Amino acid sequence: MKRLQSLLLLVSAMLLSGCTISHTYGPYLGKVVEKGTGVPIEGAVVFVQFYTGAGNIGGTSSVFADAVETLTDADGEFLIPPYSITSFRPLHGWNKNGYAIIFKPGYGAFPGHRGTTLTHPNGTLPANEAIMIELPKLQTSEERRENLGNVNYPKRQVPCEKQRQLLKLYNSENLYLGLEPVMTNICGDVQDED
Amino acid sequence: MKTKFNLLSGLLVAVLLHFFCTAVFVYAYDNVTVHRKINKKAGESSILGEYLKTGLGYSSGVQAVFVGERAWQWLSDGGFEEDDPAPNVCYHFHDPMEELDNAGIFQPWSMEMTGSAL
Repeated sequence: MKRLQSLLLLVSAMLLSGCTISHTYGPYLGKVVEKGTGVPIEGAVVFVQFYTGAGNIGGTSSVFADAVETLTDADGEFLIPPYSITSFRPLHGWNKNGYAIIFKPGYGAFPGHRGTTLTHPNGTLPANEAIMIELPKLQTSEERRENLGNVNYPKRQVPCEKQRQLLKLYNSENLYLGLEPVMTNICGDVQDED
Repeated sequence: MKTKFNLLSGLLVAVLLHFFCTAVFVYAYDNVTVHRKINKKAGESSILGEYLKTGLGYSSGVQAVFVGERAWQWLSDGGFEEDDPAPNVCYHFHDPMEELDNAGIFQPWSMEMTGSAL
């Protein structure tokens, strides 16, 4: 009996260990510049989301797993070092794409804004390849207001500390446009944190 | 005749196998971006914004914030989360204009639903 229990425990452990999946994303590197002038954009947030996926009859369905963010430097350059994630997700595999959102108030957001250079489908970033992303300068408040809809990601599922910079810039744009900030009920007022 | 049928069947299987084995990723199925965009666009194109403004007094329309998120963001997130857990994929086309029994809640859309959403 004891032998059977040990065997069951061993088989269970083996099956469960197969449900723990790991993947290393990136590195992601590149430069963000103003469209038309080529002037580097400093302080733009580069936010990359990672997902696992499970097959079903409608295709592969993705579930949020993790995210990482950084700001561009004075030359408009950013670097996200290789990022390893381990997750316990039965029947899931890693969606190998890193999905980026690049945003700075006053500029069209990548990838949603039509004026940004869209080199890869759906804002997926190529790993280990220096890329150049152009963001158009927005002229009117109406353009900036519409642009808010391009910062579209599952905000409630991303831990606050993983989206702090993006939320800070996003809500500063909201306030500039006279709109209510978002996620304050979960993450508080990120404007006040610094 | 039978040989010809077998040949055609084999060819069909080979073609299908080719598609199944070489397909890597179809962006139309992607709930990370495509589902989100479809729902957002549907919300913006509908009377939702106007109704929020004139009917309920939310002057910013679809930009109104409810429980920390904008109206359009709730719709967009709903599209993203709709496939999880897996059986939800069968209930994509809920039609609130139909009676509950025929609204796509209790039966998978592909089997029973005949409402206006299809």
